[in-house]
Amino acid sequence: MTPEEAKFILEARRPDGSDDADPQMAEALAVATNHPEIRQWLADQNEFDMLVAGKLSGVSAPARLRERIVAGRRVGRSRSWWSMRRVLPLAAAIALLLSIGAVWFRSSGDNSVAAFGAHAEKFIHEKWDHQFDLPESDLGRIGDWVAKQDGPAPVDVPSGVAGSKMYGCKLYEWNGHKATLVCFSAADGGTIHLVVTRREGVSNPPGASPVHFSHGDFHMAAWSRGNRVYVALTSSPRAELEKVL
Amino acid sequence: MDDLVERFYEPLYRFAYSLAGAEHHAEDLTQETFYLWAEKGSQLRDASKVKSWLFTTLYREFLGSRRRETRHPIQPLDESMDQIPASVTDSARALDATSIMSALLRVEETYRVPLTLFYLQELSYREIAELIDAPIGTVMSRLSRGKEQLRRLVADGAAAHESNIISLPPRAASA
Repeated sequence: MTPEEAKFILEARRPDGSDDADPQMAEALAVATNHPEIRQWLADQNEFDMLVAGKLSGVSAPARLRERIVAGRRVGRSRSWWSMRRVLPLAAAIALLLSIGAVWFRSSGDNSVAAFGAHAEKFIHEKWDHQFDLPESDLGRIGDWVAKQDGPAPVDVPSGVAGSKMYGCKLYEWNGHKATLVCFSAADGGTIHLVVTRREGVSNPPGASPVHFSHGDFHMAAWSRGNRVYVALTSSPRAELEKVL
Repeated sequence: MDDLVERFYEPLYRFAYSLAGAEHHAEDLTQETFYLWAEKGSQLRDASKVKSWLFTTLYREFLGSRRRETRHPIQPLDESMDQIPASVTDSARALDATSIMSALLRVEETYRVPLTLFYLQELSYREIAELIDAPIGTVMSRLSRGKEQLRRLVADGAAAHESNIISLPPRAASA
């Protein structure tokens, strides 16, 4: 190995020495040891590389990132719903859901509760980056935070929902109206998404008793309470929705 | 999984940042990598390959996301810059982490990818070659060219720093 070849190889030597056992690197190091000029060059290289590596390790990830990864992983289970093998059946389910919803709620306008539910499903699977505006496990604190943002806070929710393990919330817009998405754990380990909007944004708000939709493995339930319209969505069995509503 | 997140989310984020040049994009890439691990990681039979899998997946996600976005040209390096001063190590010492990252972001992407992985010290040159799907000799050559560019930029950055010149921010999410 010539000195020039050794230099070329040693450029790829990590400054912490973790490549030194590599046969090619060991041979290059041996050349450097016996060649004063290369030895000095290597010392200079190493000093610069150690400095840069050290400075680079000082670039910190945002504090929220780890929390979001862990929280998002749980919510991320729902992403598997949207695997390619399920795209077509799910699209068919949504189309059917919309038609059923339109009849069920005797409305065909875009502001129907069925459209609100369908939009929520689309938002969750296609538009949302799965990052919460507020990763938070306490529904009360979620409600307080949403209210401060002038969003529709999830208030007066069924006790089964309130007692579930929350992951966080996300504010978004639906047909010019504010909406809130809250994600929480279903008893079977899946995820239930609850979307909330104000009653004035829905042309046919449902009654206080949840109305269920079901098609394949995708379920929704809609109800109203006070000035709020709620839709719960999940790919867990319908029984999981019924447990919390 | 939590241990895996704890161990790798920061180096993955740094790698993502060096690729994307924007904090939010780097966060997305890091998060997406762990989503994919949660979905597909169980298919990996060799546990020693986890680290390579994570970095490779993040890199592929970056390439995929870039194909979906408008490309922004990066300001090319002026190859006719002055000779690298002998005191470039002192220049590097004078710069903070953000300035070093800014300099790294101005290295041409071809060289920046292996160079960042090199400085993160998580992968060997052989593993880097697998990640970018290039021969080992090519990786060594790119590391050499990348270091040369970085040294010039560090020297340049330090000079600007000393002259109280405000450096332009690096261009984001680029190729």
